[in-house]
Amino acid sequence: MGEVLRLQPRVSRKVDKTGDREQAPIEIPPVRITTLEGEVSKGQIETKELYPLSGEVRPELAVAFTLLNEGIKHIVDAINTEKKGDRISSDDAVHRLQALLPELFCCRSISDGFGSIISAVYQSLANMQGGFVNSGQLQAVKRVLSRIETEPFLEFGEAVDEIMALEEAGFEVEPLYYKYAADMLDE
Amino acid sequence: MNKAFIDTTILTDVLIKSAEAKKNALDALKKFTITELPVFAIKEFKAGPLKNFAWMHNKLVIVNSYAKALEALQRMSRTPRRYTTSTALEALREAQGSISKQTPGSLAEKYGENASMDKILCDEFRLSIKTAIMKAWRRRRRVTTDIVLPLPCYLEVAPYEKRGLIEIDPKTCNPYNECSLAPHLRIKLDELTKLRDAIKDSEKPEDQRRSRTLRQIYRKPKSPIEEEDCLNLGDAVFVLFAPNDSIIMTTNIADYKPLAEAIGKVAKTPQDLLSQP
Repeated sequence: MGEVLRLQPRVSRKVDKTGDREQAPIEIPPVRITTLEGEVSKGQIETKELYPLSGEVRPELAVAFTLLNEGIKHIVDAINTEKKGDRISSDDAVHRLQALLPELFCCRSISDGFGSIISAVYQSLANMQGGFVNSGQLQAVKRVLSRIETEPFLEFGEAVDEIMALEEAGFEVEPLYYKYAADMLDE
Repeated sequence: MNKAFIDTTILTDVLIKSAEAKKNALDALKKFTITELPVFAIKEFKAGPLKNFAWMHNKLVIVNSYAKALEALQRMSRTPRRYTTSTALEALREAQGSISKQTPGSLAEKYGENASMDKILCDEFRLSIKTAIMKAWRRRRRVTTDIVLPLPCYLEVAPYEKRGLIEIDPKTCNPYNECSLAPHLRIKLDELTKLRDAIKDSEKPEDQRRSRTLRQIYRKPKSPIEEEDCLNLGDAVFVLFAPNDSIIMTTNIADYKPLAEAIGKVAKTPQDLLSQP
């Protein structure tokens, strides 16, 4: 008969030194809370605070944040000028947003949710065919862009909710050529 | 008549078509106070148009190229309307309105393949199709005021993703002993006979299958009715179960008209309804 192995845990009363107890406590910088309008709000934290290493880990994320920030500024500008009745400035701000969307779509590897929203916003504006985007529609675009700025990895299902909200604002979210595919696939 | 009974073609137009077809269907629906959608239409929609959409999405994932996916679509197209098909394919090749048309070539240096026209189109089209599938499924029960004719043997499972591909199973029923519509069909044997008489001479394969199944049910009503029989009945299910005080709304008027008239019911297209005062 061989020796019976007792697999009981050994209890040690020594102090655990696996952690570096000499390390200075981490100083957490105060979170700056800002909005695009420059007002203090409890609800919004700068995206760079949420994703401090985005540039190193995923370069497209850093580019996307920069472009989204710029895009949201344009849409806020469009909303504010529209409120003042300056339709030309409002429409021109929309042009500026439209112009950066193709580059934002190049960052679509972030997530399908991100890509589908950028595509839907692009198509929503393109399908207006130069027509004036009303205040409700501008607000809808701002809302959806703000959502992916804070949640670039949002679930596809949630992206679909946002796209449906764009449709409810009166936008057509599919590319023009989609209808031909829909006809061919409905056989 | 202020009640409409909706078939799969109308459900499809509302859920996945864009522009004119969708607008016509929605405008026609607005003409009625009560609109009814049988669950059978949801089942047919999932097993037909939605399955085709999932195929297109999955093809784009696998070939990772818009041009190659279009070639596959062209090969799969079964429509005899060659002119329509070639026009549609030409429009798809042109990809009017695509984000790729506004993407500067200078971005290729920065983003590599992600900025190439074919890859942009591939992803744009794939995401549009994927969004359309998910939107359609969510809205399926919001198209009409009422959902009628429940199918206890059919499980409505939402489309889901597996390994990047869209799965839409189950597409068929899981009947216990026999189709859950069987008892409802057996109390309408006279109408089944009339429906069969209306199409028995048709040369369309779909009508021939339907005719055989109708005959089989009224001649041997005690025989179990299988899943395949239910599928073969197709349009006859809508005509049979549409309330007498309703208008059957369909774009497939050529197939519905003889069936509806055979049992004193009315079928109309959205265009017919919209042209009425």
